[in-house]
Amino acid sequence: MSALRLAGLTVERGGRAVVRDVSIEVPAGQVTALLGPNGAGKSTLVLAVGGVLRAAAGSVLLDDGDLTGDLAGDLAGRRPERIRRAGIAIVPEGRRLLPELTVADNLRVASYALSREQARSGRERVLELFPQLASRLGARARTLSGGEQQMVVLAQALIWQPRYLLIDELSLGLAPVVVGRLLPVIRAVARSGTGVLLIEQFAAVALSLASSASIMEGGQIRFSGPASALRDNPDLLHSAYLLRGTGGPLCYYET
Amino acid sequence: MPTWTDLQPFFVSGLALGGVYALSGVGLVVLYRATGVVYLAFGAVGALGALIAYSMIKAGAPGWVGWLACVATAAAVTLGYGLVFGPALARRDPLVKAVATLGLTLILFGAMDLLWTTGGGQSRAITLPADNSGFTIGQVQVNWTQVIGLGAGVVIAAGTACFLRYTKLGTAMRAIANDREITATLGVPVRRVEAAAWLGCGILAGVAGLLLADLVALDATTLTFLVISSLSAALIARLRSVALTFAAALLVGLVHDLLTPVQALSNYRDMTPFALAAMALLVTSRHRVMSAGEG
Amino acid sequence: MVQVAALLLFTLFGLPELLSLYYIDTLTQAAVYSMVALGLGVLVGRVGLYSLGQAAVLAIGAWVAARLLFATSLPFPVVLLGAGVITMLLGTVIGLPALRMRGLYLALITLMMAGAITVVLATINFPNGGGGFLGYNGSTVHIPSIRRPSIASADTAYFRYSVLVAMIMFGLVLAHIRTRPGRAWAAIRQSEPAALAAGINTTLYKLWAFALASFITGVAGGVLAGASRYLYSIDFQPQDSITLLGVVLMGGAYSLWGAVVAALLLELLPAILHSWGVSADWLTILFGLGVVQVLTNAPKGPGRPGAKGPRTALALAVPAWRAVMIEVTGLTVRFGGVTSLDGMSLIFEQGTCGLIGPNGAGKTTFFNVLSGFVRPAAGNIRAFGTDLLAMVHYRRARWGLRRTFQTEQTIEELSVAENVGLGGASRQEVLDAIAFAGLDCDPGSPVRVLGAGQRRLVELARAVAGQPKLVLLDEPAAGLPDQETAHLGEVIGQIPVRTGALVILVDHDMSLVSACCQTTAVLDFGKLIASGPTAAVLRDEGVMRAYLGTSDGAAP
Repeated sequence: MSALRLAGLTVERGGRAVVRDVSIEVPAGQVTALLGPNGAGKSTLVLAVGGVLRAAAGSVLLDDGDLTGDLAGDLAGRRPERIRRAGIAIVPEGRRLLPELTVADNLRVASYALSREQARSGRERVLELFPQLASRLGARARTLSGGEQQMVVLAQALIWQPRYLLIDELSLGLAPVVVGRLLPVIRAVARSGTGVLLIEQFAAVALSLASSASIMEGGQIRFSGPASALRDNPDLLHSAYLLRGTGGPLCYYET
Repeated sequence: MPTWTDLQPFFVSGLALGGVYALSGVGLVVLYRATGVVYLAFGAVGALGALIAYSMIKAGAPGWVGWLACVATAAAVTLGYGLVFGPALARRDPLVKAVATLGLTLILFGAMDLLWTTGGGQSRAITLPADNSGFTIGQVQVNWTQVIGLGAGVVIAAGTACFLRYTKLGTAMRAIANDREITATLGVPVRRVEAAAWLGCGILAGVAGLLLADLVALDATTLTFLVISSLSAALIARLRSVALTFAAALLVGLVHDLLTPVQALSNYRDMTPFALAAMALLVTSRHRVMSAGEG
Repeated sequence: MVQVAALLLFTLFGLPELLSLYYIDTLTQAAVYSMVALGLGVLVGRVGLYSLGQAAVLAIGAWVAARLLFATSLPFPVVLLGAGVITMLLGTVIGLPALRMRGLYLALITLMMAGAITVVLATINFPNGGGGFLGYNGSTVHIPSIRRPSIASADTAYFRYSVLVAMIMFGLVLAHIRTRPGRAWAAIRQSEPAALAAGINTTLYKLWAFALASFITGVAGGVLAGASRYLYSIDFQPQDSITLLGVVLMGGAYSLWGAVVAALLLELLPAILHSWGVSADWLTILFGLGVVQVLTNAPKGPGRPGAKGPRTALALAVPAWRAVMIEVTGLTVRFGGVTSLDGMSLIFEQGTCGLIGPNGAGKTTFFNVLSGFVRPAAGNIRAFGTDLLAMVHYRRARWGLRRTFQTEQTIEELSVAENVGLGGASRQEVLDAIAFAGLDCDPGSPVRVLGAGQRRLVELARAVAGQPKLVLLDEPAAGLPDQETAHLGEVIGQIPVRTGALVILVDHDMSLVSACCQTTAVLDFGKLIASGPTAAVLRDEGVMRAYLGTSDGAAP
């Protein structure tokens, strides 16, 4: 089965290891959740996979059985443009779109490296996914509401039809009803074959969509298993968030 | 006090000069927005190009070959600098990036002084064929070079504004100015876009160098430091707006030349760029409270 | 010290015997430019301010000195002082408005100023014994030379005189570096917000640096006037300021010796090349390459932490316990369209209070309001009966507000004691604070040899030194391993006991919060959603939901 595999990834910032020997598998066509409290290193991990930060060790592999050529091989340490072209799209936290550009221009920038035909069909596709944006195309991105901005950054990622999509803190600062409108889109994207890694500190949001989940704390993976295990055992989640340094990974349940 | 008739010719020359300052100012602003570099060597590369054109023409080459060589040299040096030192300094503070271009200025300066020593009694000049023909508006003589100067400024300013707004490449440059990191993750080949910005700026530097050599003087020091006038316009526009840069540049050129017949101030008119920029910056910078303290 | 003295003696008495007059004159010029480079080095290397017009300032100094020497019969040293003071005043006046601008704009404005001064000089020329305010006599016949001090009118004697003046200037700078201004400059160069938070009036110290650099350059101008004997505006070109910056960067802007190296590069090398018949333009090219090379390779940020040190017992003193209170009412902060804090009202009582909440809840914004970096749209804060928001930010530290930041803010080049005492605490208070934090290293040792955990303790000691009233700790344990976190927690818990201050701790590490905070408040979306005894708050359902999201698939 094809998957995005992060193997033994270690990322250093300011001299200390913020991400330590992390291994996660993101299968295609499914939603995987990565949970954990603040400061756990999740955002650093996303930026490293996206090529913005350099990994000190470990590899990022696209395991698509029948793919060869320059899309195969270890992507860790490659430049961001290259990683995007290989089919991995990251949406970093903070709804970082291009604030002074219009929505239309934001999309244009995202489709820069696509052929005209691909760009056009990509644009149509994302406007279908987010019909609300069609009426805001001429607005400057920084005047949009939080929910609309989140739609724009998602649209920028999806215009490429990425193989794998990593979304960092989708629901941060958004009202529940707004988040509720975005979740079906994520579900649809996964169903169409994209492997989605949903990084959240609000566990419930991610767990409602995910098939498998990992918990990251203090730079390391403390738990890895089916999402149902966490849904059915909230104590597992609480202890990971509230008590630091309790030692190695928590045990995981088979349901 | 000089009369309107006295001022008229300076009005024309001021507009022409302002046009070229606008051309240079726009080049500076676009490069800054795309790469964060205030290209202080702009004047020096233009001077180098102009001197090369001069030597080639003196050696017998046809005029247009010389002019082409001027623009090509300026473009090549600028692009070369951008490709070699751009990535190395990409993440640094704009201050550091600007001071680094002063290093390039010194290198060019030394080279120019070595190869085209001053003195020996003969002053150099570049004359364009457009110098010799012109027309009259009212009581004022206007030569075609001056028209070209102003015209080039208008065309470049308008063209650049449209380029940035409507073309894919221009939009990518604006994107990089907003957030270089994110633009890269969106799949834009940032280094290639930046290279395009450097190349464009270099071409403008060559054109400006040629025109200024004709309109002002062909002298390495003068041309190198004429960048201060364009810089002044760019600063008044806070290194952001192309339209404002254009307007400010015309203002700088006009004020400078209009002071020529004013006895009391004439000798100090070269201070115009400094005075205007300093005033603009002081008026617009208010006491900012420091924000977001950490690191 | 001995080597410096020996070198000085050799320079004063040995060199004149060994070198020809040509080189002695060159070295006199070098002495002049060593002072100019010194001033620029203070600005660039110590404070981080780039001035691209120092050669023009030198011209001003020379002009003033020449005018005074022709128009008056004041003794030479007095003229030097006068040139220094007048140049200092001018430099300060020019510098004052420029200091509010960003570093880049300051550099560009000084570049343009250099051009402007060159223009003025070309018009008014240098004084040459003529009359009137400008003292310029337009005729080229019979121009007197600028006089020299009577004890040093011969070239060799003037060389010695110049070197001595330079030594005095270096001493002046050294005196600054070793005392308060030097520490303030180091703090400003590291991070202006942190310097402000430590109570340093950054605008004042930046201005002081400008004034010092201008004074020294003005004196140098006076020495130059006496050395050259005839001053012409053609000798002062705008590119000289750039070349000067180049050699200062190459020689090393930070060290005092760098100024000497810069001066030798600028004056001696060209003279040597000239005597061989080689053009000095090659040097200009070299300096340009040097600038680019230095800037491309300059390191940024602090170095790697060193080895860890042993743990020690805490030193406790019997506290003078005070009931303390901070009252926040209706605090609202907006950035653009986002409401970062929404009508926050809260009372902080004695002891250590935790402030927790999900990412983006407004905790750091609250701290920034307390520090004075952010102005709220509405609301007020009364701390111990004082209206905190009415106080200027750099005064709050003196009042007793202390803060640590998420990223480490110790100043590498200073010692532990100097770091702790940055806000102005006395020597005894510094030592007490160091002992309290459990740091067992020598107070005089430089910070750069300490490990991450110990550096955090240094920051904590700084926050605790003197008489703090309100201590804000922003994720003090970030990045520390569990053992060091536990020790930090013990120290934090003792701060109110020891000093009577109120501590507000922001962190995500719940074990740290439970360990040292008696009460905890929880922020979410800029609103207060819970406050009370820590244990109860951490068990509260609403708080759990805020962190983990509700079960119906969305954040609350």
